[in-house]
Amino acid sequence: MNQLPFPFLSVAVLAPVGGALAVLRTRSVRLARLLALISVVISLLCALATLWIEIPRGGVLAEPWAVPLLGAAQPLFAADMLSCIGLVLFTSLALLTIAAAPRRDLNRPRLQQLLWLIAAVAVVYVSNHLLLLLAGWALAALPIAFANNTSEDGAAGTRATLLIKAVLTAGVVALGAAIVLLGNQAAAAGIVSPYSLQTLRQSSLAGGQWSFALLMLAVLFTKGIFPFHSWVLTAFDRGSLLNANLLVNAHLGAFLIAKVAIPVMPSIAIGALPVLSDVALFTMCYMAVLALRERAPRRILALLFVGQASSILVGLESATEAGVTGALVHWIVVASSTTALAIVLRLIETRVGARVGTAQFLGLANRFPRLAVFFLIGGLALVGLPGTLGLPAEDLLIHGTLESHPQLGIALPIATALFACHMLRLFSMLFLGKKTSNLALLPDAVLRERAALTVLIAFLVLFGMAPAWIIDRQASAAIPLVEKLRSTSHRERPLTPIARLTAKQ
Amino acid sequence: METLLMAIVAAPGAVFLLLSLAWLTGWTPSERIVARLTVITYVFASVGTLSLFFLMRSHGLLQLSANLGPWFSAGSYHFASSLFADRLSLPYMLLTATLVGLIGAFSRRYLHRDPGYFRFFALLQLFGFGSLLIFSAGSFDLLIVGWEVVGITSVLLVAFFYQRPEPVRGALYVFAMYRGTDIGLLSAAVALHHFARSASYSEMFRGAWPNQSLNFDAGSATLIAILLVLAAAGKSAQIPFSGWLPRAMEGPTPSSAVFYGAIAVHAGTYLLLRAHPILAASPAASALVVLIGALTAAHGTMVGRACADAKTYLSYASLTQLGIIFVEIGLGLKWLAVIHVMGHAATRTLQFLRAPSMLHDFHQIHSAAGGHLAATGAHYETVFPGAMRNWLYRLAIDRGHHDTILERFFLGALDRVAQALHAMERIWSPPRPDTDKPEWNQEVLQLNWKEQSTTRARQ
Repeated sequence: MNQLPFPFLSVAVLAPVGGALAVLRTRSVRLARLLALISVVISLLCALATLWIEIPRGGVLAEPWAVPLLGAAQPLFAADMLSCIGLVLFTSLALLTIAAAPRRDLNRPRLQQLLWLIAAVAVVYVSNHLLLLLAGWALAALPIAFANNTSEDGAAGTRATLLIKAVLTAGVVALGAAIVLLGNQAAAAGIVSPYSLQTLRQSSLAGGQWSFALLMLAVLFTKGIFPFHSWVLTAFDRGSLLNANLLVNAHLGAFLIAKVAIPVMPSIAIGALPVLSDVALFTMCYMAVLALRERAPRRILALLFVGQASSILVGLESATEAGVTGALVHWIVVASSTTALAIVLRLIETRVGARVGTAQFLGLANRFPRLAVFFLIGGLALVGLPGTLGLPAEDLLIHGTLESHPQLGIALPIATALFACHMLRLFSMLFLGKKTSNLALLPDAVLRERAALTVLIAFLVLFGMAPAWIIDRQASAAIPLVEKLRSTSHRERPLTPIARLTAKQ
Repeated sequence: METLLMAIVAAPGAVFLLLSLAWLTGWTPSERIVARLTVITYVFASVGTLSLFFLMRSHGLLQLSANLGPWFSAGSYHFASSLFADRLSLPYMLLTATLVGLIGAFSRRYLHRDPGYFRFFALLQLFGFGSLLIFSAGSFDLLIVGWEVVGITSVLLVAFFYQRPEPVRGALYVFAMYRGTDIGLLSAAVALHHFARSASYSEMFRGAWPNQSLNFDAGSATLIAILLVLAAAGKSAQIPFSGWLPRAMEGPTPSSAVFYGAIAVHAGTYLLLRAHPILAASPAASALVVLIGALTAAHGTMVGRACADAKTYLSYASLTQLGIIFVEIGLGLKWLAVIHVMGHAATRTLQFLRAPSMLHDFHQIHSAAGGHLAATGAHYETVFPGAMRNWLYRLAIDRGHHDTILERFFLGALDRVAQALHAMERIWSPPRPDTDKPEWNQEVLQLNWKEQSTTRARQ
């Protein structure tokens, strides 16, 4: 482990916490927003600094101090390439969300919720201690679960809130139980720091099926994999769209697999992940078919998100460099593009003064041409069309998946094609098909919205045209995972049909 | 020569980026600037392609490759980005550059003062880039990029008159068909990477077009060829994917001409001609191409005869010729297919562009002839008995029951599955606001807009 010259990771975590406390004390909404922006910028700068140091060095970067916590003294925070990119991505998206969000969405409680979420996700990304990771995970889930304001919906709203609370709490409980079991097992095996992630990754734990099963359960809950997808749909539909979007776009489930499940328990992962991958593939298809009859834009967006996010799990399991790298790049694409789509959708909702339905064409492109273009490009990136980073991500993902699962893998391009149709349908219903003449005084994207959305779209387009840099970085995060899976698969995993075919040839 | 090849392909892409950036920053260039840029770009591309042809000929080169290095790579997988010019790609490139340039010149007056003038030209540039990329790609990987670009520009131009619902519905239909059949191309590229270890033409094939042979085991050829035929059939509107072509006529006439008369529909034929060594290695796939082509030709000529409007008639006439081209490709008549494509594209473009003036042309011809021309009465359908003619007429009017079959047996089934899933979802999901209820509908939205507008006006 290399040492960071400055506690960048701690600052990245503490800046949003400080921001949240400062927002609590201030009365002016404008000042609160400024404070939030400053704290997220600090967090982003620290994340960028860590990435800057990580790129040439590789490996794991740890904080300069160690804390004795349930075992030998270990650094609390450590980051590898995966964590660094995740942190940079998440803080950037949070910053752009705060910058572009409609003012009515950023009152003081919502801002605090958002800042706690950023801090919590940062803890999960950079934590070197499993209990700390659990704390971050719980802190990330709780603001959405317990501060979800659905009071205007009456009994239905209460049921919706209950559902979100139940699933997210179940995810926390499952993860907690998995971590405790894992720690006990490590302690029994004589490992000095049983909750230190680095120590566990270096030692090969035998057994641990129950803890692995609980970890997977936590992943299913958090990522909204079938049959636990309803909470994501409900959170998008009824809660704060932008906050819900940020929580799900932390992709904590995929991170848990890449950071804990595969490195710590590769021998179980190699046998169990194909099952998860098949469930994720089924989720994709399920969401793609479900979206056929869906009319509420928020829910279509949620279905698109759940489906596309499921494909990340499929890629992670493929155990090919192309598949795993594709999954990690797709993570970036899904997070960036759904954030752009959520922002545009929310901006439209605030302009027209209601949640929009797509039972009829709304024809908003006439009045909001720039928002329409942002929405179109963001959507096309999400479904992997050329000129955006979505294409390389989709290309790698499909290559990796079809290589490892030639029969079931074909569902991935089919589901992606269906998602592309839903995306274009959503765009058409919102922006095309009708001449709107009574919206003359409503503005198209104002400067701050345009700036934030331009950054997101420019990122997707520029890296779409020159994707090598970002793919190389993600490949360097993917290679250790693939090596870990391969070293185990040579011993234990049966050959896939296509591999058998090649072997014969 | 490599630089020239790259410049020809990159020029429309660069102009598109320039125009888009200008628009995003709030400046919309004037009609004159946009039209001139388009004409200059395609004059350069046409002259450049011709120069490239003569340069290659003078150097005795049968093919030229401009390697740009891997676009990206992950492990053993490399996305090759190389451009390629040979006796197959150069005619297609020249056709694209010339016809897109001509359409640009024509549209300058045709779309004068149209609110979508700028959008049309920006998309035309993007389409030109995509098409040139398809025809000059050095690998199937890069071809997919151009293929998708052409697909999305095609869809956006079908929905050009976006303030009416019909063009938008047509665009959605076209997009669904494109995306559905593109799965074939994507899967073929994956299969090629697996079986041939590359999707690059120079590594997959030996020799120069049209005398190429496979450089990998022919055992996998049938699978790959069928996947490629699926993609080609989708792009060239062959049976059973032909339903999108008449719907695509909702776009402006110049775009119909260049997309569905000239370039985009012929992309499928290029794909098959380019992959001909794979097709030749699989008699089953070749037979499939012949069968699809023959069925499409018969379908096109039958339905075309019962069409009431000029553009739809022309689209079915295109379908007939495309079917015949597919038959030629399936039978291995490669040069004939190329010549047929060139002739058909040029003639059809002219017909599409003249379509809005058809009545005027009709009267002119009759005036020149000194009166109404007598009907010949010599139609092929008269060889059929009367009852069969009626049956065929009904079949033609309903476009071969194509849409009915698709909706009843495929879309309908999918919709029923979706309905069942929604019913299942209601069991465990909390009740949700219905978007069809009055408080969510259009009227209330409009009230909201009016209210907001009034409030803002007061402020």
